[in-house]
Amino acid sequence: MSSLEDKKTMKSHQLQRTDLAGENPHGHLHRREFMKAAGLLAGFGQLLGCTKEPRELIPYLNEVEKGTQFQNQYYATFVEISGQAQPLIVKSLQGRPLKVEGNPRFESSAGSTSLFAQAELYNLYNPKRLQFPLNKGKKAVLSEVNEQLIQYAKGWQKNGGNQTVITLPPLSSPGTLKRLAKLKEKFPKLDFVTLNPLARSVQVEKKLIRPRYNLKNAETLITLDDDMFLATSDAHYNARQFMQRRKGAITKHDDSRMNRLFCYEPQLSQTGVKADKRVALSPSQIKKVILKIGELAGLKETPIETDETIQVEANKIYQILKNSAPNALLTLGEHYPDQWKKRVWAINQKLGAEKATFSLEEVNYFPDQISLKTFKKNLLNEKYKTLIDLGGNPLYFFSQKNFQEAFQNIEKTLAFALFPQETTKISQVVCPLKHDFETWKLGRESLGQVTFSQPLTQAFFPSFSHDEVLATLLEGKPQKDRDLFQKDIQTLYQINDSKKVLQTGKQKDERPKTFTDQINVSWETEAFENKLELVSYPDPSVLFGEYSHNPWAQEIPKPVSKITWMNAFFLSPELAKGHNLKTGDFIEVQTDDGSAQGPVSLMKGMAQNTITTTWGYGRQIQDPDMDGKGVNAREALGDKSLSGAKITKLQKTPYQFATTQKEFELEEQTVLERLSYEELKERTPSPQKSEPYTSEEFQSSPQWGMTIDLTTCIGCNACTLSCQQENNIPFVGEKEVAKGREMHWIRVDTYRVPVTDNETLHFQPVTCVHCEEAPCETVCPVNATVHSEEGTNQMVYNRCIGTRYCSNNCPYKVRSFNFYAYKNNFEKPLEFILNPDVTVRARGVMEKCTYCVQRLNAYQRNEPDATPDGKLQTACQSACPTQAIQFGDLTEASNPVQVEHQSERYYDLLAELGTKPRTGYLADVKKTEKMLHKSKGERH
Amino acid sequence: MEKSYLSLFALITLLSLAVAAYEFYSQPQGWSSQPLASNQTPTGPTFNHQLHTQKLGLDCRYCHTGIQQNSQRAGLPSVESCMGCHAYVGKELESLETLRQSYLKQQPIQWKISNQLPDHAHFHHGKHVEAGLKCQTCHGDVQNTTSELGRDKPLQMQWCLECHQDPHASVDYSLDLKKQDQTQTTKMRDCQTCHH
Repeated sequence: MSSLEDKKTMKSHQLQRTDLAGENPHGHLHRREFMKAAGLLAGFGQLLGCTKEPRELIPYLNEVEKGTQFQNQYYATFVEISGQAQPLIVKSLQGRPLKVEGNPRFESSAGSTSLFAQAELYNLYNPKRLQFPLNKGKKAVLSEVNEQLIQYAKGWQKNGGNQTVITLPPLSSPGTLKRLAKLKEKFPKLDFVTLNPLARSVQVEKKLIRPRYNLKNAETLITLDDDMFLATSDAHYNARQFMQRRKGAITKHDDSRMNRLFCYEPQLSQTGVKADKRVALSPSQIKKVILKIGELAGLKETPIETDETIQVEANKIYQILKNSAPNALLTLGEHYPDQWKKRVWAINQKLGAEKATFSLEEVNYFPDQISLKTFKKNLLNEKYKTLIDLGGNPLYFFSQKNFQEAFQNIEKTLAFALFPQETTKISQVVCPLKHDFETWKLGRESLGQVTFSQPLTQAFFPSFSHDEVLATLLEGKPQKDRDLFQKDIQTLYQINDSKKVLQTGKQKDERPKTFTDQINVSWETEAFENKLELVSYPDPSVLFGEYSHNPWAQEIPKPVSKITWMNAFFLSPELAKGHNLKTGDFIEVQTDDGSAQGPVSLMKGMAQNTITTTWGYGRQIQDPDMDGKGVNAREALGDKSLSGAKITKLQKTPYQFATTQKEFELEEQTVLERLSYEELKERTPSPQKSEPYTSEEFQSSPQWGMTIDLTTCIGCNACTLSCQQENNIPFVGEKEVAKGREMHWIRVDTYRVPVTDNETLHFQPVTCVHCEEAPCETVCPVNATVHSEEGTNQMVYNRCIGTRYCSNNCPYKVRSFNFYAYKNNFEKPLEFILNPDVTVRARGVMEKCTYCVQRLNAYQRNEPDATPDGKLQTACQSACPTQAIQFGDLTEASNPVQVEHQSERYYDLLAELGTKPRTGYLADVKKTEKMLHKSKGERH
Repeated sequence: MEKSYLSLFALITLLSLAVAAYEFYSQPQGWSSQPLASNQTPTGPTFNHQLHTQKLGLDCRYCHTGIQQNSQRAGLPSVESCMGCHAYVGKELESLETLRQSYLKQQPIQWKISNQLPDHAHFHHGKHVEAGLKCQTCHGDVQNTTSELGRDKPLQMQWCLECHQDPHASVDYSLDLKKQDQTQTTKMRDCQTCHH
């Protein structure tokens, strides 16, 4: 327990990660007492630890298809997240889904996955799932739920579904939408409402319209409070297009392709970090900027009076847009009210962006539903006697007091859900939903393609799918999802043999209808109040609360704040000073719609007079650790995302956030190299580059190496979670994270680098760099970490005795230590999630990135089932949405990783230490202020 | 106060160490312990390897199909594939009652493991067979056992290394590894070839 001293003496060139804090993990004990207690525990531990359970070999009962018994199978499937299908290829062994990868047949995925798609695997095995139906709080069977549904259907035959509302989560399946429409047709008095937390789409006349960006053509991208790269909707598709263009320009020195990104936003976002220029503006300032641009573009007739900053910024934006039109694009966040989105679309149309970067598309949806406004009115007027929730969770969506009371007045509530949540708590009948990996289903991904999927496993628990519930209501008798699926693909797509679409997940390329009309929108607005503003965003780790039950997602550090297991109110240090607030202090934020409480976290780069927070916390999900924790922004905002607000400080003990990065400011350049686009041209290969694999030890082939491109990394954490899934990495909980004991093998650091009167921001994923001259190896007393002849730094778990010398001597701080027996966290049925090719580490063992050695071994052994497509990829590499990670054999001249090792952007992390790392970095290239404002003609 | 704590602590540690050591060395299934003696074979359902291989002439791979698929696991046959023959052959035999019951009740047979590796060691059956190793090299005289199959070799790392460090000296290979790519033998000495 000597780490506190270590931290103090840590050399300035060492990266900060773990201040392996906490002299003792029990707080109130003193060191000596702790040592005694630990000794006792260790003694007892030994008593228990050596007993070996006799094991059984259990063969299959029935013969399975040849090859499936012992080999990995790869199935095309998808998960539906916020009403968008994310196409996947899932590795499955002996009926257990084990690893989630993207489906490269779909452009929206291109083989990559999001953090949330990865987290879905945990949700499948999550022990917190609802495991059986409940009837008035008692364990029930599925047939009782069926009976209930049939009874409802019978009742509706008479009254047409009067006084009944069905609440839905956003759904994309064409089959489900068709079933909903039929249900409405059959029972016309039924009310349907989709509880969509966020939508890019807007209703225009009778159509639902959404914008589609083509960032391949975007020379200039200006985002207004739009976190485009945050993993919702088609974010990763957009990020990939933007970054591919940029990377192309950088590698080929092709000026005409170099794009630029301006961000105007209240809170520092993932996109803001990647921006070439970022300006902090509050939501109302952003609205004013839109109005002003509208005026400059000749759309708004009456001039708007604004202060000078707005005038200047709006003028700048308009000039930039005009100069690079039509290859320019202006975007606005999804959380703004519809008329603001339409105004921005109109500006894009006016500037001719439709020729290159912008188009509008029709979205398939179920039109016969009531609006949220009508639903709220009806609810408060006690119109409803029956509520059927298909997973929309209205009680969390409408967390404000008056609605909560109104829900209590509904006589009968029937809730379907994957997890216990607010709505299941008050429902008389509760039924588990099938997980996406347990159903036959159709879905539509973010680019509008239909995708097909079969179950990867039999349902673990008695449960229903959405389609089964709707079909039972429709037909008055129980239905099976398989039959429904067959029926759907026959009637909707004329497919009789489902084999092919199930193999690929896809039928044919099709694009949604484009909407070519000019957008007509009124530019009249109400006057702006000069008030503090509250904005809420999707949470980077739990989204809107879908992943509240998921410890993998919860423990992912949020890209900018690095907070885990929690959210907060973010505000600028200046605003905090005015209210006498420090990080951790609790405040109450009041709006016209309600009020919410929670701790604050100070963040630099926030707009003045703005408080931001995220959705998905302050929940009631029958989990003592999570219930009521964090800010429930729904209490203050309801179904809106923006509002005027007032704050009051509360007298409460300050909250200790569990963050994974304490210092964000970076002065040393050897950690992170950044270049401007001009500097790049003058640059010859970095002086900070060692010549790897030249020594005699490393003459054999292959020699493994990796590169991480800081220019294209968007800090999304998909790599971290993909690695966690592949390598059986445990989660440790909030308290342990607070002590710096998180176990992730990849961390994504966020750095702020001060430059003249501004700062630039950067993401940097750091994992074991596999040094050829590895400092960890020389200090291990038992040779538990050694070098292979293929150049990887190996960690031999069975030799490790847990001295932690290696971690102390590692300048990159990439080793993590099993302080507890985390393998006990894998309770049933979670043990099925473990990758059988990777050792589950015991307590007291050090671990770190292995370059996915189990994949390398399987590939080198030519195992036919080693990879889905024959390509060798590490888990982080395959997940990365922008292909920022390359991995391969450095002795192969044409290998992308070898090419990147020769790039002029290449540098060794902490090169002055002479560790000769095998994982190299490519410098982050941004445009400088000077270059940004040059128009087309005078470009470099 | 300090002293009494300390001595108690020491006593308990010593005691527990002793008990642990006893348990450790007395456990036949322990992964680093000695080979099973004949009286220590695990009890459970048994299979007559001699009858099936010697008398009936079945190849190991007929039942352990994983080997042929270059798979890590050799695998056990499904109950259904046993019944492929035993639905007709040996219907009257009492010794097949376990199999028949398993098939009728659809309850899998729980075989006891006699050759068990620790979780941190990954053995690849396919690769070893591909290199020309015989099943008997590790599993012993399987074709002549009639009932319980014990562990023939110690399965300790030292024993693995005898071969991994010098494949030519210790084992009879049907392939000449010298002619093979040199990296293959280099790779055999890498820790993470087996420990990952």
